[in-house]
Amino acid sequence: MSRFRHWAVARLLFSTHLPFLVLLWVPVAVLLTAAAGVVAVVGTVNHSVWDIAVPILRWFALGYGAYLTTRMLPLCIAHGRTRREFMIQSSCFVAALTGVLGALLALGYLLEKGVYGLAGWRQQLADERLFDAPDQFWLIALCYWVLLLLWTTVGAFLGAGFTGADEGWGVIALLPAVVLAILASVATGINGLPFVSRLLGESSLGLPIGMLSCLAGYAVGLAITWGLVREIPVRTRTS
Amino acid sequence: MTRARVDAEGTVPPVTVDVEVRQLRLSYGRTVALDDLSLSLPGGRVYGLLGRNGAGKTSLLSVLAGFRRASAGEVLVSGEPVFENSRITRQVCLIRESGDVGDGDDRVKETLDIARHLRPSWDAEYARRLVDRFGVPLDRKVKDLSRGQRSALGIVVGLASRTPLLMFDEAHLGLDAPSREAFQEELIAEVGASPRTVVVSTHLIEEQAPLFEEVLILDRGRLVVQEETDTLLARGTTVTGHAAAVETFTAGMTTLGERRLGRTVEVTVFGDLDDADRVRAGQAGLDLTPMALQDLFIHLTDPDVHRTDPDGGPR
Repeated sequence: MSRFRHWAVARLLFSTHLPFLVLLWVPVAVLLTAAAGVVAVVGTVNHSVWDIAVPILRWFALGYGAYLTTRMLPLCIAHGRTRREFMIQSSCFVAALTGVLGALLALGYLLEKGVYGLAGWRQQLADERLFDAPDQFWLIALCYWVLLLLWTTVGAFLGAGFTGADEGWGVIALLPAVVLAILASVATGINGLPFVSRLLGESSLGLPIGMLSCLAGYAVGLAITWGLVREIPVRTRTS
Repeated sequence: MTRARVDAEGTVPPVTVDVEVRQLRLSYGRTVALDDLSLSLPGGRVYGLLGRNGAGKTSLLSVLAGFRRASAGEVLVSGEPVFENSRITRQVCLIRESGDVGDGDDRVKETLDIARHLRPSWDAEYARRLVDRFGVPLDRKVKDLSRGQRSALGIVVGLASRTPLLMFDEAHLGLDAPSREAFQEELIAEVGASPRTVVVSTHLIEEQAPLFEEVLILDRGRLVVQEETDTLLARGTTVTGHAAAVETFTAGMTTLGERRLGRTVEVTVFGDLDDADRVRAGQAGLDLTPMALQDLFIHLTDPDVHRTDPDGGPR
């Protein structure tokens, strides 16, 4: 059996999920450009629509993480793969996927800059961001990478917690979920969570500490996820 | 023990694997599904797994497939533990009643593609033939399939996975009679072409019985019977005749049940009857008739039947 076969879960995710999720970027970009056009018709565009809208994608990341542990994991086990294989390979995939999405979101800022420049609109970004200009491609990509990475991981362990052998773990997992979500907001300045701004003001951890904190948070999230899935049973679906 | 063969084309067909279960216990909270269960399944045979609802069939198969971790005891396939052992789990395929081999939002062809990615032994050409035979629509979403079509999809995935250990847990539920017959034909052809270990759990006992080389009967989490099908059938006999004669004849035998109609009594006995017994029955005017597997199963697992058991029960 080739080594290639050992990464079957990752190959499956890369070949089926990655293209689909990346292609979602296109309608999002078109939709937000159209939204900016509508704003221009009825008023004045003086903020980046992209900057206002794309942080919402963290909720999509949360749902995708839950989808991985509640739907994909049982499927992989049913097809002869182990929880450990799934955990290792899906973690690598999620790290790569969120990296690609982070780059695409950063590209969105650049494209928006071009469109706004042509239209003569003002592309103001939110003050609390770790980045302060749309052409800071790598910094923006990095911020969205860690944001989506943490939120996907949070979704994964919440999904496992609420569907595992003991649903009580899901309730307990809410605490680290909130901590990691706040950490992602504080580290990147991509907030938008209710109450967090008021609680934390505009404090920022700075780039190195913020990113290292997020990566440490990712490691914690993976450890929690593994703790919840390592013996998770595959239940019979009754639908 | 694992036996590998190389066929004329130089490819390695599926090997057969032995299954060993030792003192297995599985509990869900306070509910004990399997208790001190031990059994041995030599490779290359087709086993029928029978049991009433709640007997522990699905629990046993789930542990054998690594879907659940056992609470205690050992489950070995080819001498190795199953749970979280990728060398073993990729050789095991369990198809369940719910036919949940694919995500509901995926189309059938996407489900087959997932199996192709994940199963090293996947036979795409065979899967395509089976899809045609069972009439599973490739472009339809799994959640939109009828119950029978979903069962058929499960059977397609199970057979085309071509794993050395293949288990079906009521996988034929919802299939119409022609499709169930097609399932039997395909399974017999598969096992004939390349021997493997197959376990079929079913409530359609008489219909599926021709498949079984050996029968396992579970009752309330315990193994009641493991026997070659022909041997088991030979051991179940209904003795009918005058009450006093029947009572005399069956004294000392394991009786599973009794029915009375006036002075005529019908007693079900479990055990080997030799020629002398048959001569004795004839002389006493008793009628001896072999039992069907389903009747035997019903008697062996009937909680209301008073069972006289001089030798410690059927095993």
